[in-house]
Amino acid sequence: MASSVLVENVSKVFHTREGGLLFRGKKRVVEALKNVSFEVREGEVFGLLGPNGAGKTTTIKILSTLLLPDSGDAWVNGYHVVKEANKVRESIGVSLYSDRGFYWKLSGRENLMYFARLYHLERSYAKSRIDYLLKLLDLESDADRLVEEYSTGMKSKLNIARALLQDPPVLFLDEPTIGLDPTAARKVREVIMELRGEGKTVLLTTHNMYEAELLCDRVAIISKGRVIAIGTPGELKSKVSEHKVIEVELAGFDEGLLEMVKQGRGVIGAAARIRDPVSGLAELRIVYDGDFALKDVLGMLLSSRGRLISVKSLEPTLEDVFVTMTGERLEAPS
Amino acid sequence: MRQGGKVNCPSTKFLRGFKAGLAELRGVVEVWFRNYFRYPAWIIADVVTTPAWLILFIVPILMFLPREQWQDPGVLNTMFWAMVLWDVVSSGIWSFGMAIRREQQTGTLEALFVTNASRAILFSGGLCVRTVTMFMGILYMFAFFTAIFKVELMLFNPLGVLASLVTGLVAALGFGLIYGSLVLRFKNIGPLNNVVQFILLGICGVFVPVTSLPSPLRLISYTLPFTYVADLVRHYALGAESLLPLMLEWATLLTQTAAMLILGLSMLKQVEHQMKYTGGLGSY
Repeated sequence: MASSVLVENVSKVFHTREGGLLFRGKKRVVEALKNVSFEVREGEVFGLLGPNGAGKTTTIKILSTLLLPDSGDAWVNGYHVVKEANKVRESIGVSLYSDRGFYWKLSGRENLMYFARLYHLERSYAKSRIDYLLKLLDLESDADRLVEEYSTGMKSKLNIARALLQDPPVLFLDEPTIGLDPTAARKVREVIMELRGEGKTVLLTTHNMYEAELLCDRVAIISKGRVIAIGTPGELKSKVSEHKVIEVELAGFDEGLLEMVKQGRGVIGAAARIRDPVSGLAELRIVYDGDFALKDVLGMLLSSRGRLISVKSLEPTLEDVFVTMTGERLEAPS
Repeated sequence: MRQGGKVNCPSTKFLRGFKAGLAELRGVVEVWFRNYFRYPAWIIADVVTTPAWLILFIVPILMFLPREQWQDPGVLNTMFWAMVLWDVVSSGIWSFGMAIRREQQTGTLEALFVTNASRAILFSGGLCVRTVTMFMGILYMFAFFTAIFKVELMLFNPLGVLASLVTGLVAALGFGLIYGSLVLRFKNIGPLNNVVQFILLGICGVFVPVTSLPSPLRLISYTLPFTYVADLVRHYALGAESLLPLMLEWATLLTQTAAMLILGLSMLKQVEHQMKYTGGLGSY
């Protein structure tokens, strides 16, 4: 199968300033991508799975020609993202995560028509294409309302409609369901599956493992600017399928306890998500091998200052691959 | 890796080149006018502030003139055409920067940059709104000079004046592109543009002929297109002597205008490239 997207050793560093006034902010160097390489095959839905700040959006922006890489090469639909940027832009549809990005005093339909003109679509084709997309994304009845009246979900769907305007062979969707209510998120997922049915190549970013499992043919797990694993969800999960997983709810959590658990006998990986910083309410996800490990871990938790609230035994998921490989959790605190 | 893969999208099939540019321009004009007419406060502010600005500008100038010149048709006509020129040049200078700033604030820059639309056309929308306020300003000035000063406005060669003003507008667009590039790079620099505009038009002899400026300043004036625009407007409207033989003056003006446009366009392109390295393209 041919590649639709090929990324070879791409690195990107940002030089930023933190706080301060005028020119006095502290300089900071952020290595957003470190030698990232992966390939997305034609007609595939490929997910970049990682927590916030992992480098997912930077990757999408480089592939969309909105950012230039410091080193490495990337091709989209056979075109080099730096040397043939115009051709790349003709081949892609991009939906970047943002609550803005539209003209709020224009209706959804007017916004799409404007971008259709910028994509040089013939007027009659653009009109029918816009009608089709509005229907596809359940925006038909709100198409003539001003965008300032749209909910976050409606703006997200409009964003995807804009990405599909020129019917591109390759789509980049940055966190397509973030902040959406379940109905809107389901609709967006349905559309992505429909696109796969049409043979489009979709590269999406997400920090939602369920979404990655549900939608993606293959997934790259990305953490701190590095791709740490690539494979089908099944292949990735097989890395931890031999292990056992528990999720522990605990009040009065502290980082020292997590470090202690990580050092425990038979513990493959452990990570915490703080749910309430005031009470120290946290969820610990622990991947381990052997019953002795469970006994040790529970012993540690019971003898800690924290109060054990619940313990659940779970089937390993993509998140456990992430926990095992990075010692971090995927999703932001809810 | 497949090289030069087939692009199956209508944008490659329709409206290339000039037609594509026209489609983009039409889109930009529609969006800007729709936006403008859906903000009543914006229009009201323009209707109210344009005459206020005119009064605040003309009254101090008059205060420096001997009282008997307040009735002098030559002086008043010079001032009228100077104000018209000010309005036209200012529309060109502000247009791109204003549009880019607005896109930055709306958060639409990245969505625009992911298209292949001409960057100059994308950001020419500011000129639409400025054109409305420009005509509003000219109408106010006409009413102001004819009703208050009872002056009969002179216009010996309307076509010549129109050609000079249009060329002036195009030259100002060149400056506008430079200002727009600076907005793209440094964001909020409107106050700086205000100061530059005053200095620029001051030394270009919009209100006072350049021949009356000190010689070092005059040398700078001769390198700026607005010097020739102001001179040609005075020549065609009032019948004043031109600085250079007409053909030479036009040739100089057109060369400088082309140079300004090329400089502005290349600067915009360069800044876009630079911002793609730093990652600040969509920030505001």
